[in-house]
Amino acid sequence: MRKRIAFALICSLAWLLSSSGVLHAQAAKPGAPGADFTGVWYPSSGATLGAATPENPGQQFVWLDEQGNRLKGPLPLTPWGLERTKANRPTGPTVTAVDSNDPDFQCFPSGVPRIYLFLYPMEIIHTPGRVLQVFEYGHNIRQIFTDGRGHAKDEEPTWMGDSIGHWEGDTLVVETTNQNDKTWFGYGGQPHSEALKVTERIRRPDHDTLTIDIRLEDPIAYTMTLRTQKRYVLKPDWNIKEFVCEDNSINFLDYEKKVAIPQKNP
Amino acid sequence: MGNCFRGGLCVAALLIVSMPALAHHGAAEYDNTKTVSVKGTVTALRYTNPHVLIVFNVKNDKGELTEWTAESQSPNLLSRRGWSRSTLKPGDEIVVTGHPVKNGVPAMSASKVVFADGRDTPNMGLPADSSK
Repeated sequence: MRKRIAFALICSLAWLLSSSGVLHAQAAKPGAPGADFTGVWYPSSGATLGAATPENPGQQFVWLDEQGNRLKGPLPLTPWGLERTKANRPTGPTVTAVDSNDPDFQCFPSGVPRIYLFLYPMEIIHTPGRVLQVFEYGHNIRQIFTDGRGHAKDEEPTWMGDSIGHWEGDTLVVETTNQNDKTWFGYGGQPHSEALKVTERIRRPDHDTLTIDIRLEDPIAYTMTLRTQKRYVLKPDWNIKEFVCEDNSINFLDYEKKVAIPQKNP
Repeated sequence: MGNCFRGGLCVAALLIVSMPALAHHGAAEYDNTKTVSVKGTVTALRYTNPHVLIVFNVKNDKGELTEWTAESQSPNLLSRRGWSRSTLKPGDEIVVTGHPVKNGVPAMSASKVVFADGRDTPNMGLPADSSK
């Protein structure tokens, strides 16, 4: 008798565990088959369209127009955007990190889309009503709400903005608004305003690949819509490691000062 | 290259080698038109974010020591390439190849490190499959 009771208890426990597992699996696949991006992903070379080239070594975006044609020359800035660009002092042939006012060097969150530029992995975690992106770089965690809520109202702009997503088949469509205007689009000091709206279409075209089509609309800073694309590869045996940006100045500032190029007009 | 090892420093080649991972904090301080190989003895491996620093002593022909610093990738990236904090130990004889800084202080980027007896350390570059 005791054995039967024990057996029944074990069976009940197994059923409970398996059913909770089923529930978890359903929550992890909110869309159509294939709409599961769970895993650790690493940016592929070039970080944008195709392989890296000398002019696009991997830590900048390849910019496209609305029709998908590659933009040539400088980005189409408005007068406001031009003023902001002049105030930004990115690193360059004569400007080192010590002399730059790049918010990245002050350990601020990178904002969207710049967070995609760093050559560090990100993990995607599906939870009920949310998709989480855990970026190794700077330990940024981005919440994409997929529970049907709208954008927050009357909130102060934030570094990573307010991201709302919905599924269209196997594609996660994410709209991000309410970012502050302190982040840049990249190391080049490309500005944006608080009016920026970022729309991403995230897909997994095959098991090992994740693509993110990015559309940037900011009529205050740019005279046209900008588009770009990111591509990631799955790293099944990786996990996210610690990366504490604040360590940088402790470990590195003495070296930065040592190797800095003397500025003629500080 | 033999002269490089005796003299401690030489200009190996005029190569433009992109090191995008160093772009984290800019690479303006390095002269990418020059590639040097420097032989020395490790005194410390600072295996910390944002970039690993290799500190080593270089002896000139008179026997005088100069402390050099070589900057590499992030420890996170190097760990995924097979490095650890004990890959280099104080006393190890190494040859570091990379770009020198522009301001003339004894510092450089490190794109490759080999032991003086010819053994390789793990590749410091970006993951080989990053172009997939």
